[in-house]
Amino acid sequence: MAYARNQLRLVVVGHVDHGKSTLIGRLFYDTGSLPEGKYEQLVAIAQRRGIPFEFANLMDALQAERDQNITIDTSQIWFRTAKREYVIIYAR
Amino acid sequence: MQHDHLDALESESIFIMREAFAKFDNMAMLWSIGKDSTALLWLARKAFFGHVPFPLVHIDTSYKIQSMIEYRDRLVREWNLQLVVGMNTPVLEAGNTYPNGRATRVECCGMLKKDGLQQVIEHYGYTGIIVGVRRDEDPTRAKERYFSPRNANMEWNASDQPPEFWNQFKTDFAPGTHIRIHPLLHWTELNVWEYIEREKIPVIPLYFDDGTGHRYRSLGCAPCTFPIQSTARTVAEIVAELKATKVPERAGRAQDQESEDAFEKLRRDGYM
Repeated sequence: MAYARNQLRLVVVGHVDHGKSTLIGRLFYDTGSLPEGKYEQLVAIAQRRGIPFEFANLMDALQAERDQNITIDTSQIWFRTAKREYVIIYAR
Repeated sequence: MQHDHLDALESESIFIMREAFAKFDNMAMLWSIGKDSTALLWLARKAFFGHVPFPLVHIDTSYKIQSMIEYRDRLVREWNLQLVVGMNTPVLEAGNTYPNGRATRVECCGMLKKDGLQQVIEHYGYTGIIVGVRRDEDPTRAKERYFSPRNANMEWNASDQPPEFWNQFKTDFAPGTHIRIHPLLHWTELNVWEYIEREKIPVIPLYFDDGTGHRYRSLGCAPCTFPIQSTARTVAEIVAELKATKVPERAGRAQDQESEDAFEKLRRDGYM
């Protein structure tokens, strides 16, 4: 299908604690792709918990992920450049 | 004719709905009157050649914006829809709601929407519920499946979900449980508006600037949903606005912001 060629699906796999979530967090931050207020919100959460801010936390959705510094199951997120649309799939 | 991304999304959604209809004897579709579930309703009419073969369930909290109810009833007449209205009457009669100051926003959502839905599912014995949630609207919904199993208490366990490879879906359910079916899972907010524009789907005018420089981007109950600043008066203008914005879609939904895991708790307990 034409759509399958336009939309690039990308999956990040790797050993535990080797930076999969960090990579995606940085990608969104460095390309200015985060929703407004997201970065500030995450910094505030880290401060409230008394832990250092990490880019990996940008993708956290569940309280258990924030508590244990892990990714649970998978997530699919949309990422857009001028050239094409990406769906990034990341797993634990 | 060129096959574009909207055609691909449309055929995927129609495929999911037809699969679900073949697997579940007693199925219903949630219709919140918002843009997503109205686009889904449009897709259901296409999937089943103009006639929607299952009831539409609207969970009415009694706090919906009045024009939503008028618009709902008009489409029910025009499209010959079977409408089931769910309402958590005991809680409303006791007045234990957020607008009465007797519940937090999240507690109020839990009772009026989540419990209201559970009452309808139990009463009618539905085993399949079609819901118009999308992965891109919220990080917890980004973890969802097309066919999402719920236990007898409607709970969602994000850490134990069936894999969905190559269009193989788990549609088994134990007695008393049900499956949520999510045909719009892979659509983005932008895709939905592009599709509304292409198909000329009649959406509720609350989504457009009424002349005050504000419009609703996401619709809910009047006390907890706020319009955003926008001068978009047409679907084309909304599409253009979304291509440029970085404000998240649910920014005007106050219940999500009550605590860092407010929306996660609601969803884990069975909220849409």
